[in-house]
Amino acid sequence: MNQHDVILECRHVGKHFGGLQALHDVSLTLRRGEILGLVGPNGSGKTTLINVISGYLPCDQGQVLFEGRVISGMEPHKIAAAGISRTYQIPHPFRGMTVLENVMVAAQFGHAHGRPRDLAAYAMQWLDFVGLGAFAHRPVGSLNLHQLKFLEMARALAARPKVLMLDEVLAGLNPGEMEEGVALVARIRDTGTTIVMVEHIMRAVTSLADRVVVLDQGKYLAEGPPAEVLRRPEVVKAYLGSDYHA
Amino acid sequence: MRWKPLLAALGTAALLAAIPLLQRALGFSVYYLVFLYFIFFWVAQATSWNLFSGYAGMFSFGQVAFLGTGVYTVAILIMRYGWSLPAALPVAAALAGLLAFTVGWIVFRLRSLRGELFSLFTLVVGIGGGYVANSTPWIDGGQGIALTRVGYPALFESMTEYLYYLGLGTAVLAVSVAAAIQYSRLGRGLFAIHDDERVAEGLGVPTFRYKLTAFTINGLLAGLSGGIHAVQMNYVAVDSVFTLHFSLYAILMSVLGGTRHWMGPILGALVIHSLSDRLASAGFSELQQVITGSTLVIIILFMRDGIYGRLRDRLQPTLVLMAVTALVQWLALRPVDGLTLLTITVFVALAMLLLPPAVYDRVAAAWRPRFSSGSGMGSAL
Repeated sequence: MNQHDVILECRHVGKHFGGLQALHDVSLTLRRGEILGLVGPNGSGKTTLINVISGYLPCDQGQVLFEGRVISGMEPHKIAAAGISRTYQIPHPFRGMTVLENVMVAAQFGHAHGRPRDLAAYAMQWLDFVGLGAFAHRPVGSLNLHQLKFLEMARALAARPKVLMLDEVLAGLNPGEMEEGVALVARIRDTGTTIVMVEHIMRAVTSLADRVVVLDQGKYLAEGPPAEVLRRPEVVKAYLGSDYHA
Repeated sequence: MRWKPLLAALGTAALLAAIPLLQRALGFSVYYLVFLYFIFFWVAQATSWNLFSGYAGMFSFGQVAFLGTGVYTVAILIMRYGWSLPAALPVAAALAGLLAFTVGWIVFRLRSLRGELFSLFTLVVGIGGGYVANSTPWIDGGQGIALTRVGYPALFESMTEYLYYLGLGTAVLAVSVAAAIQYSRLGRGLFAIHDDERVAEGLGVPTFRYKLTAFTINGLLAGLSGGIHAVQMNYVAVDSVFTLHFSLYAILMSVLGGTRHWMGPILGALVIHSLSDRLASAGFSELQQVITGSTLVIIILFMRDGIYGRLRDRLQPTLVLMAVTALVQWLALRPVDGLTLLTITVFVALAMLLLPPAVYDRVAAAWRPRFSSGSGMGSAL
């Protein structure tokens, strides 16, 4: 696989909410097969960027290209069908369904790689993949936060995305669960899925990401290998001075 | 697993199809056919409402507009243009479907009209329909339309019998469509929209197209059923057609029965109409609104998933209780009025279903040896 094959590209993307410029002229590329860490202090526009790429929010300026095709402005379900899937920072399960049914929705509607014939069996594979197989027939209300976050991932994966965007999947987990989460993200990469990872937990970012892009106040700040970029003075400064040690 | 209730419903429909023949042979009151016609009418109305609003969780108050379009299309085509009922019915369905499609296209395009605003918009459409009909001379213009000289095929013994079969056919059609949707891709998409529309869209559910499709089907079926109802009403007037109570009852029946299953609106229609009918015949028709309103409150407080969810878990004990209740009435109150017997039986069953799970489980535990085989049948639903 060509390391420099670009799968997703943001060109001069801008987004404002009223007077607040949430994203300002952000350009970045995502290479096929990599894990890109998207980091930056709170309010730096990471989640907004994910919302713009997935079509959840329309962008005001610039373009998003997926496999060479402009996808900004397309309806979100078409972007999803093209092969981009995401998780939510705060889990949003379908509350009226069982754990398995949640994943079946994704299996039925995501079809970047063609639709599976036996939805339940296919969805079950992804529940087993994230370790929730035993909970398949439970209502989602019975899951705890850690399980809900893993369900988000199973659901996103069952759509067989080419690009998976993980929005703080490790936040709020205890150390043991976080180990599990890091191992899971690594296994997702091994399936050939390209990953964009928004994450505050730097240990996870440095161990998983091939490259990081730093955003600060909606602007592109820095980019490069995680260990090196996170030591740069301007990045340290963005994280409020000297508190942070990479 | 999903086939058993469908087969049960089809079996019930086949039995119902035989009732007019029994009526001819045994000569019992024709009122039973009228009573059942109203059940069919409400099953069709509530089911058509539920397959969009219940499944997708967006409460429409526009039901009366679709129904009213059906009623007036048939009344006008028959009385002013001399059409026959079978020719007018497809036009009634098509026009109501077109209205639903147009309203849906507007409201679903405007992203701001979600939730409550959708309900409000459809409410305005429902009320507006009455004003349009009242002020447009070629529709009604305040005169009303009397449906005299409407013929029926020689195959049937009376107009009542003809309407009975038309009503039964429409109810079976509506329920079949709702069941087919529930188990299809469209249904799974609608349930996902119900739980979280934006997440559904993000997972690839074409939410606009799905909502529009289901809402249009709602309009088509409600218009068809309304078209038949024009003949049942006999005299069509704005005051009796464009009343919000059609929308409210369709909602009430679906919510009472359970909105996430095609069987819910059937159960709700049976309970609410039998209650209304008995109250009216006992001279308490003004109590109807009070009782149906408080029923809704009780259901929302104590039985959030509706009758269907409880019945699935308590099927066999409920059927046994109903049989016992019916038998006791039959023996104690002979000669007994069939409709009163049915209504009392239904309400005893409803009381049992209303028992909170904690109480029910305690009672059931005491009876466990007798009902030990019950779980298998219950899970079939």
